[in-house]
Amino acid sequence: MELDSENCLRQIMTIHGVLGASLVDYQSGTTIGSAGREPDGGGQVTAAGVAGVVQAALSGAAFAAPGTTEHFDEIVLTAGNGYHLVHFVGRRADTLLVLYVWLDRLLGNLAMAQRRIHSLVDGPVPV
Amino acid sequence: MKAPSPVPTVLDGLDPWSMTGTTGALMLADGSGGAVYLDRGRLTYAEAGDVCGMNRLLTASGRMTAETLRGALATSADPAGIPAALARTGRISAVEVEALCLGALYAALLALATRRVPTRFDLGARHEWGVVVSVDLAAARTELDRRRNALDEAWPDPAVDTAIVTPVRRIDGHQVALTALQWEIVVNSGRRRTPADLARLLGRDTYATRLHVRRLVRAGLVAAPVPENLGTVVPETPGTGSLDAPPPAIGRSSAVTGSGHRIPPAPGPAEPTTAASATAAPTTPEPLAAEPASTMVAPERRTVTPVPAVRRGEDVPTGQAARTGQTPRTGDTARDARAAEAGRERAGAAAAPPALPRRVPRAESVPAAPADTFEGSTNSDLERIRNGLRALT
Repeated sequence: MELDSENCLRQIMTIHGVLGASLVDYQSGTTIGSAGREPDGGGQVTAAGVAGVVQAALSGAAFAAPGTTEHFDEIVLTAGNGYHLVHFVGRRADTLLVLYVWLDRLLGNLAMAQRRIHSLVDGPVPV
Repeated sequence: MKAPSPVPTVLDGLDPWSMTGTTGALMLADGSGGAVYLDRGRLTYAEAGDVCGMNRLLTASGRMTAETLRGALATSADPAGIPAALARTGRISAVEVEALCLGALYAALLALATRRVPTRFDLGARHEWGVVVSVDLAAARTELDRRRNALDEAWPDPAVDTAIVTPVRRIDGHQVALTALQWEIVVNSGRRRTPADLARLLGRDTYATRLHVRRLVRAGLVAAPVPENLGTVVPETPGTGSLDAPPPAIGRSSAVTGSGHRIPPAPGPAEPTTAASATAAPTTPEPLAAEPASTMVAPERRTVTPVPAVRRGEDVPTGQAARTGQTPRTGDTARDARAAEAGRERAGAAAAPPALPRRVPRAESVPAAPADTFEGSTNSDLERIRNGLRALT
């Protein structure tokens, strides 16, 4: 992905039904950039919430059998106010970023949005 | 807040340059190599001596070799094209370059922000990486506050940041899930590296490494450093496999922190090991030595009382604390000497069952005070300990 964060988010926002998107460094909880609306109206809370969701998933021993490695591609939360997608960006070995996308439940198409996000973010980067 | 000082903090020192929209660099004149770069008043990059910078984040993490990095930088005629040039190597995306750069900026700024040292401003100075991101000073202040809060929330004792990362020898449970960064921290600590050393070695974000080390401490997977005036940390290794252990002096000298006025609420089973050696408690009237491992039948692994004061048997009514308290009282000088011997000749103690870490206070520095007036702890700590003891009986 040669796009910078601004262009990347702009492209994400063109996906039908996307209400907002942000790029978050999930290990430090830092927002790299954001566009559109955010569920809570403030970037700090969104970044902290996304980082919290990722930490919860990563530290959930239930998902990984002992002695095996596991990785995440995407976390999808289906909520009353829409779909919340947390997409891991970059190579599996050293991801540090997630792309958070808030998708309207009525206007958005989850599968289509996932495909667009995947091709936009992961396309040219070798896995 | 501190009393007004003639030397402003580095962060406050940036104010006039930021407000006037100046381009240049605020250099710390203390020889630490710290610098903050501004472009038209916006922060673009910062470096601090002990914080992992961009080159290391890209190469030491194994993302790309130094040659690849140099090649990519050389092909980019326009400095602003650096992220795209790096993305063309296929090893990293442009967005990740931005994220790394922002992380390096904030991590260094966090290390420098509150320092009060003389500075000088180099007008027009630019940094190689000072073209990737730019943030205004107010946003940076907000982010630094957020990071300080996050660190405090994970584990409130800043001594963890400068202490040797000492993973516990055994976990209190059947399994543990570690993230990739946590694994790297645990495996590479070698019981001799600080969080900053680890970040530099692994090419990871220094702040993220510190945060994760603090979380590991809270989870009881890494031993909390012991304040200097309360005890001495001596890594006690099991009889076998002790040859790779570092000399205790390293752990001792670096686990020591300047302030050391408070014992953070440490998880019980994850206590750092202390063996009372002859040098640790020479003037003790009632030696608080742990029993030598070889005579210990069933080590009290589940002691829930990290505060040393409760180990003083007669003050504590509960059975478990009384038991742990009585143990040292039966000890005599011969046993004490054996404990010291066991500490020195760890390889010789092959028959000893592996003992879990245990902290023993330095007797001369801990007054024999009743538990509720022990000055090293807050009342809430003692309240929790008392509740825990009550629950056990």
